[in-house]
Amino acid sequence: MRSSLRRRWRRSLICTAAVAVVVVAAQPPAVSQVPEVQQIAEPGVTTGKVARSFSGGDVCAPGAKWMRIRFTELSLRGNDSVTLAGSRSGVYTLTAVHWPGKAFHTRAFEGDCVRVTANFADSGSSYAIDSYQAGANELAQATSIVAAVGDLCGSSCDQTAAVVKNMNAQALVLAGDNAYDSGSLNEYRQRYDPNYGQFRSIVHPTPGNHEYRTPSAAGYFDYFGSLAGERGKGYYSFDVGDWHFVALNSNISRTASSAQVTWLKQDLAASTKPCTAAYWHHPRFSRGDHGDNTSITPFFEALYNAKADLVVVGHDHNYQRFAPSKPNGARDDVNGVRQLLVGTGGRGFYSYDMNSAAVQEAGNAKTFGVAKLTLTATGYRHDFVPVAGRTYTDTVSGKCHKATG
Amino acid sequence: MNRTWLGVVLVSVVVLACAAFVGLRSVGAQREEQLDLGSGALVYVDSTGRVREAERGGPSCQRVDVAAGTLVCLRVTAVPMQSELLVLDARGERLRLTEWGTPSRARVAPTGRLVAWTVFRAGDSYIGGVGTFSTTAGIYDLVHGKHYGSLEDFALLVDGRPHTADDVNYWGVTFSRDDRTFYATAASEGKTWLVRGSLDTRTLTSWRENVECPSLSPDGTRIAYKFRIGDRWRLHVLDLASGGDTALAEPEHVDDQPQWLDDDTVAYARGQAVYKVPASGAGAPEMVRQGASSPAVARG
Repeated sequence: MRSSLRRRWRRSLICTAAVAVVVVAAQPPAVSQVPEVQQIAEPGVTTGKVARSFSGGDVCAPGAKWMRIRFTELSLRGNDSVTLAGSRSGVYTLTAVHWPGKAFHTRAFEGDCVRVTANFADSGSSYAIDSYQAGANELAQATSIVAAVGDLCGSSCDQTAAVVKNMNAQALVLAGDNAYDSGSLNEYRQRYDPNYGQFRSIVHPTPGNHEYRTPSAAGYFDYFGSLAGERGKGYYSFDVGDWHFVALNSNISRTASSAQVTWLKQDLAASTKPCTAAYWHHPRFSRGDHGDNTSITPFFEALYNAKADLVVVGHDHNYQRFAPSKPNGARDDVNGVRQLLVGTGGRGFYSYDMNSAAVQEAGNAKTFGVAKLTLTATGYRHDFVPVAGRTYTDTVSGKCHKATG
Repeated sequence: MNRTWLGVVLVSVVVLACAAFVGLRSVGAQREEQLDLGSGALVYVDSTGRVREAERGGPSCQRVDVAAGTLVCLRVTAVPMQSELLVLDARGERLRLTEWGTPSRARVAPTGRLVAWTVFRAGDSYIGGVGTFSTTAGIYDLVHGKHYGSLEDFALLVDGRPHTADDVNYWGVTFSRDDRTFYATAASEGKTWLVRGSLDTRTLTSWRENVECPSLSPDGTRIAYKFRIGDRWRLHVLDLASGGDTALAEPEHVDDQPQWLDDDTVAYARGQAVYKVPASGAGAPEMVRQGASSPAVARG
């Protein structure tokens, strides 16, 4: 019964698709512009609309191998929930905590339809779905590239900018100290912009201590505008493929009871993504001059408790890859968060010879370079990519703690 | 017909615009003249920081070298702690690279196919007390477009054993005529060595201690270098075949990578002038040019 229905769907959609192409071409964008947790799609992913009248049942993208659904509303009372099930695999139940305050995309489900089932006891509960993203290739092949680096401009950020450019990344995350010495608007214009300004459409910055040499990091917030999150806060989140990314500000209050850490916990709880990464400036762990920093523990603890996978930091001007660890540094290969210290964006190096509570698995203190994160819905591959002419590389892979299968 | 004329007009406009731009630039700075890189004349950096060859003024550089029609220029840029390596030949610019650090040494291989540079890094946290420093020495193969960004990435063998200390520095590259072999200085743990490098195997092999800033003679048989005595350097010449070492007739302290004017004469900067002295150890130093540094010869 269901399969015959779907076959009919498919045939009629060939015609619909042809019409849709014309409509899309004439009137982009396909999806309405509402405030959302930015969802950066993997290359080749398509977007489709869901009828305004949709109120449960199957959301289908004929021919798709996987889909992720966009909710523009999720207002659930009590224990009410909405269950999503991919026609081939993947089940996820949304509850009240999953509403991040604006539209969001779910994790990906395999198959060409996602069945949406509301489990409401309270008549006041409601939700709205307006669109989806769909991939024509297997989900395992849906790959995003994210470039990650801190401590940039500096004498040599022209060299690392060329590395970023070669990656053809969907996103560039910056771990702070982006324009020396004080992150003034003038330094951003003179030093950062000629080299990294070209990445404006993909950049997601965080500020470092050098940005705060300008009072309130005003130059940073002036230069990046809305890309830097709310002025004065500078923490925000977004999604890349099936990864949730959280940008944090390690220069402002970060105690367990701070507004930032409270926000972080809520933000992590709301994400449906199987994989999570976060980044900021000051390392929790470092064998470099700046050493371990326990004031960062509340960030690390919230991430560890939410089963996050990766952390990217800078501050020490070198590269250090740590083993997955608990917030206190103890190695934890099952649930640990892996910290990548990538302070190699183009500012003079610091050596490392201090002790750290965490296990440093690899490191280099003489090569500028950028982390290339190759991300899928189940895991990551990280490569340290050196600047032209240099040979140091490092590679490590990992599985996402919350990924199924 | 009309289209052809339009093309001619457009090309002319572009040419005129470029000419105007170059003209304006020349007025703003000083006119940069074409150097004759095969003239055999002395090339040097003058007291204003410009490369000179006879009466012609070239680019602004802190260090310069010339061989087989290829000129390498190492200079500071507007970005703090950044150097730029510029390579020119008769056709114009061949290569431009930036490096973290301030200019120290620059060399072109006798064939003109390889260039090398050394910069002093600034900002390394392990730059400690007086007399300590950190350098980057790199090589670029202009024929194959191959970039050897730092000799730190090569394997160093000292007395036949791998040396992997963190504090190794390299400086002062000089090339042999085969375009695969070079010599440089390596320093670590308070010692310095002349090392022989291979671009094929990416290895550096210690050759002799206390040989700094080597400069291979045009015939490839001897190395002029600076020999440390306490806190002073004296110019010496090492015969590679015999291992024989000769102190040159310059009694003063010299901090430069020497340059061979020919197989019998070594030039160098001392104070504010370029001098020359016989490579045999005989004779006496003779001033070549006042208000000059970084001597080179525009050998064809």
